[in-house]
Amino acid sequence: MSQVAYGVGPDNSYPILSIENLQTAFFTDKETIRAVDDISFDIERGETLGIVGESGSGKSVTARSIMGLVEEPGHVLDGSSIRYSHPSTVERLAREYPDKTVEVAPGETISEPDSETFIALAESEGSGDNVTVEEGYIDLAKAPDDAVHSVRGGDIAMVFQDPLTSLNPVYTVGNQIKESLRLHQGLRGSEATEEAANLLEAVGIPDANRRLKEYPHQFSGGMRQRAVIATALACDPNVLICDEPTTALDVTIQAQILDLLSELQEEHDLGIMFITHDMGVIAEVAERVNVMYAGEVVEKAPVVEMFENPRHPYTQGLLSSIPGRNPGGDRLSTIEGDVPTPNEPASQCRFAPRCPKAFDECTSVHPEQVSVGEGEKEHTAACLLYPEDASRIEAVTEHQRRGDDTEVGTDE
Amino acid sequence: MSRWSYFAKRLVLSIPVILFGTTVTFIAIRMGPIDPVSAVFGTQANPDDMERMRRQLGLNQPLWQQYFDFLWDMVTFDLGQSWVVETNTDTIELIKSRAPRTVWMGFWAILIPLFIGIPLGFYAGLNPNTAGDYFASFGGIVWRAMPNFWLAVILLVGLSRSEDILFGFSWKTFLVDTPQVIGTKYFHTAWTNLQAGQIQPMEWARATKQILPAAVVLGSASMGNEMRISRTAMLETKHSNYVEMAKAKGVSGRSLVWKHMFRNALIPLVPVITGEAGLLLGGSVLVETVMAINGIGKLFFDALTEGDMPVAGALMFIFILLLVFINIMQDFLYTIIDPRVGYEGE
Repeated sequence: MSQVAYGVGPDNSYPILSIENLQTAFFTDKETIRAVDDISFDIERGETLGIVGESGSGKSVTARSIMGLVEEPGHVLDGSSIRYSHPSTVERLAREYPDKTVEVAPGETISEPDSETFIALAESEGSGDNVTVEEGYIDLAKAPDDAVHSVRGGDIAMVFQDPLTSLNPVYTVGNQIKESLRLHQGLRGSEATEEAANLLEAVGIPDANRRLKEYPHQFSGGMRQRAVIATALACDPNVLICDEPTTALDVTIQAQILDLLSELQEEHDLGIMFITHDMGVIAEVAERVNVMYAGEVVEKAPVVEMFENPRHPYTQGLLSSIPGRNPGGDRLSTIEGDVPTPNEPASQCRFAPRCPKAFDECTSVHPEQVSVGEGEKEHTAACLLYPEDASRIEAVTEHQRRGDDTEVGTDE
Repeated sequence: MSRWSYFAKRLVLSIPVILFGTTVTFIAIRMGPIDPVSAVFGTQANPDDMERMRRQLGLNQPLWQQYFDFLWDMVTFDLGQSWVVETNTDTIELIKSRAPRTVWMGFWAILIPLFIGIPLGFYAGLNPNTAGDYFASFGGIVWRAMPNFWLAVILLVGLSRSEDILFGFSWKTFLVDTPQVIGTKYFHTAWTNLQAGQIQPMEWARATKQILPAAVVLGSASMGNEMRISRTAMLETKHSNYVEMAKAKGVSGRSLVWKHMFRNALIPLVPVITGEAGLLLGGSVLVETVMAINGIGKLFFDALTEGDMPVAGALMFIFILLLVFINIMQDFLYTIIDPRVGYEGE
C-alpha cells in the first residue's frame, strides 16, 4: 500500500485510519446492493484524502460505514476492517475490553479474521486495567456498538453534505455546539459557552457570543456550514470525514470553507477524508485521490498525477467532462450512460459497458488494483489496461491471478 | 413585532370571527323551522296564550331588533333565561349545573388519546416495521375507522352484558362496583363532596370507571389520529439530517430520542391536538345523547331541537369563544415549540 510519510514518528507506524477490504451491502427483498464493494485506503494524520465519484458510486456509504452509521437493511460485511490507531483511544478501549485484545508485531494486523478480538496492541505495557498503549489499533468493523459509539464524534467526526438541514432547527447553535463539548470534552456551563464562542470565531463567524444564542434558521447557508464544522471540531476529533461539505454552497463561500478546513487541519493535525463529486474541489484540497465507481475504487494517485496523467478510462472521462479543461473542443465530452447498481458480486469490470477502451476480457475478468507502470508505486488503477509496460495478455493474467488470490479471503 | 402585540392583534382579529359565528347561530335558530312557543305549549295550544307568550319573549318585535338585542346580550354576557328546556331558569345556572359532567368526560377524552395515542405512535415510529409497529398502526386505523355513535352503542351493550359475552368477565364488578355501566352518578356525589371539602377516593375511582367508556368513545377517533400522525412525525424526524448529525456527534440513544427527535416530532402534532377541541364539542353532543349523560352536549341538543334561543345561543357563543381561544393558544404553542415560527411579516 502506498504511504506518503507525513510526520511519521516512532509511535506512528499505523496510519491514523486504515480501511481494508471494506464491503457494505444493503439487503433488500429484491436484491443485495453492494454499495461499497471491497475498497481499501489509508489516511495519515494531517493529510487529506479525496474521494471522487458520481452520485451512487458509494462515497457516502463509505463515510457512514466508517462512522458506524449504516442503517438497516445495510451491513458492513465480515472481512472488512476499519482500523483506527490513536494510541490513547486504543488504550481506553483496551482497558474497557481487556479480553478482546491481542498482541501483534508492530505494523502487523490481526491475523484471525473471524475472532471477536478487535483491539490490536503493537507496543504496550501491563495488562488489564493498567495497560498502557504506545502503538496499536482498534478495528471498528468488528468492535461492538458501544465501542464504535464511543469513538464516534470524539475521534472521528463528520461534516455533512447539507448544512441547511444538518442542524436541529429547534435548538440554538450554541446549544448544539455545547452538546458536543459536553459529550467529548466534559465542558459545562460558562466554560462551555466560552469555548463554543471561541470555536465559532475560529470558523470565522463574527460576533460569536450573540450568534450562539441564535437559531439555525437565522444563519445563512455558509454560516450554517461553518457552525456544522464548529460542532464537529467541538468533538476534538483526529479524523474528519467531510461528505460533500461544499456542494450546497455557492462558489465564493465554497472557497472560504475549503480554506477554513485546511487551516483547521494544520492547527489540529487532522486526517481528512474529503468526499466530493467536484473535481475542482478535489484539486484544491486533496493530497491523494481515490476515484470511486459503482462501489469500487478504480484509481488511486497523488492529486497532481491524477490530473496530469489520469490512467483509468473512467477518470479520463471524468476529467474531460469538466467544462473548460478542453478549450477549443466543439462539445463537452461526457460519459454515456449511468452508474450501474452494483447488485451482483464483481466478476467483470463494472465500467466496461460505458468504457470507450473496453475489450473482450473486460466482461469476464475483474480488474484488481495494480500499479499503472514500473516505478509508479503511488499510482494504481483497477483496469485491465495496466500495468502499462506489460502486454495485454500478461496484464489480464496478472489481474486474474490477483483476483483468485483475494477471492479466497473475502468473497462469501 | 413583539410576542404581546402579536397576540393583541390576534385578539382584535378574532372579534369579527365571533360576531360572524354569533350571527350565523341567530339566523340558524330564529329563521329555522322550529318555533319555541309551539314547543312549550305542545299540541294543546291556546292561540291567546301563545300570543301572550310571544309578546313576553319579545318574539313579536322586528327580526333585526331581536338580532341586535341578542348580539348585545351575548357581548355583555347577559345570557338570559331558558325558554323551553327548563323554563325561567337562568341560562348560566343551567350551564353551571351541567358543565362539570361534560368537563369530566372531556378531561378523560383528551387524556386517553394524549397519553395512549401519542406514546404508541412514537413507539411505532421509532421501531418501524416491527410487530409492535404493525400492531399499533393497525389499532390506530381501527380506532379511527369506528364511528363514535356506533362504538357508543356497542360499548354500552357489550359492557352491560359482559358476563355473557366475555366468558364471565363482569365489567360491573371489575375493580370497583358500578351497577350502572356508564353515567355520572358517582361523579356527582364525588364532585359535590369535593366542593364540601371531602375527598373520597373510592367515589372518584367509581366515577372514573363510569366515565371511561364514554371518554373512550369520544376520544377514539382522536386517539387513532394522533397515533398515526405521531408515528409519521417520529419516522420523519428519525431520518432527518440533523438526527444523523447528532448521531455522528456521538449523542447517545436516549438523549437522541428525547432531545433531538421528540420536540421536532411534536410540531406537526400541535394542530392535531388542538383540533381535537372541535371534535370533542361535536362528539359530546352525540355521545351524551346516546349514553344518556346529562351534560352540556345533551343540553345543547335539547335546546336546539326545542328552539330554546337563549340556551342554544349562549352555548353556541361559549363554544365559539372556546374555539377561538384554542386557536390562539395553538399559535402560541407553536411559537414556543418551534423557534422558526416568528411574528414578522404578515
